[in-house]
Amino acid sequence: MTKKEFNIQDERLLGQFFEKERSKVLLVLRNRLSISTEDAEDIYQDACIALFNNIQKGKLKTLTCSLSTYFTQICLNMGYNFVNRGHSTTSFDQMLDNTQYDEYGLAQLEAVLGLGDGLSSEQTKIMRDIVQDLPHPCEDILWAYYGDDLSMKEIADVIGFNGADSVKSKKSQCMSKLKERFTRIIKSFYE
Amino acid sequence: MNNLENFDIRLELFLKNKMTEEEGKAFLSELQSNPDLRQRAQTMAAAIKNMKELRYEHGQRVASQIESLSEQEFRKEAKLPHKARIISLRAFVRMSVAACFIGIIYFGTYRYYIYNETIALGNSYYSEIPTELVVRDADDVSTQLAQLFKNVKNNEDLDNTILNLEEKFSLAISEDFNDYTNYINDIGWNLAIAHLKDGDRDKAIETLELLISHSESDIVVGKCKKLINDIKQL
Repeated sequence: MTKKEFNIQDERLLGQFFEKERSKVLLVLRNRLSISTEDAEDIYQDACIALFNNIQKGKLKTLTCSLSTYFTQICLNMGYNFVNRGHSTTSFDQMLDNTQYDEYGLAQLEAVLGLGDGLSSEQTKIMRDIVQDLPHPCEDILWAYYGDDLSMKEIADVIGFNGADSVKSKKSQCMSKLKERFTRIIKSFYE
Repeated sequence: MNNLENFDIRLELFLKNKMTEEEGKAFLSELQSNPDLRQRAQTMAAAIKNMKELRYEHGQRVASQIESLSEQEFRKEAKLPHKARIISLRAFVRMSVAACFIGIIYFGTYRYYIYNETIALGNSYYSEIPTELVVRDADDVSTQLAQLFKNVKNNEDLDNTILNLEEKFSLAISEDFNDYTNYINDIGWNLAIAHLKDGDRDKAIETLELLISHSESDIVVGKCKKLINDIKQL
């Protein structure tokens, strides 16, 4: 996700969101649950309506994860239900309520950020600009991995890399570059 | 896998709270004692925290927009099918096959019924104009026509008979006087009946309309109109 995408105008916000979610959901359902594109499309459409209904009912007021993570998890739950059709006794509402997220814990993040002298809120904010302005292909890899929670193989499929190992290696290099850039900016900030 | 890749994986396990308490404590003390790894871990943690926040804020904007929409507007924005959702391709194929089967049975039966009715109409109208009387002279033309009319009467060699009659009818209705001009009513009527017996209602109507526009006989015109009306009611 680029700075441009975050600053997208309101009139294009929904179109862009659903376009991106659709591609992601079709890929995830195919890779993780071996669901055909046609069936994944059905699941995606059902999940869109479920998302709409839940927002209208005010069920997302207390949402702690991103909308994208929530939506992907709805699709995955529906996908599991589809794969186990006839064997699942879970109702559709139960399925939505049971949605769990494989998220990075805020307490763990804060624990790491507080080590040593700790990072100040200003220093952390510098990173906000950096992650919105990453060079290619680090931008695709890091956002897909940390932002969309895609696997290395899925990222390889999306960005056209030759397998998961290539992505893993490139991701490690991207993190090193990110660290260098972050350190350089922080140093110049305090000089 | 190099050391940094391995470290990144361990860091992710910690950040996703997938380490035991002891493993977590050991990992944090390792970071405390190694400034280089700590800096890398803090960079990654800061990046992930900001990505999470940006994603969350973006999601809130999206949710807020969705909240203000009607279902119809939402479907349009999300590019979903209007009202009822699209059925799966498999279900669509199954339904299409069933619909085609029903269509074949229904329309096939219906077409067969119409076809039989058309032929029956041709048979019943054949005697309306006694074509035997048209053979006035025993010349080649009248002999040929007598044979064609006989074919129509007996449903024999209808394809060739129709072709022959069409050719002669186009001559009969032409402006130039020719051998067939005097037989216009007989040829036109027999051709229309032949089309009916062949199950072709449209061609029969077309022929009868041509005959109406060229015939000078009120009786023939009257019969043609009645027959067209009966065909259209099939």
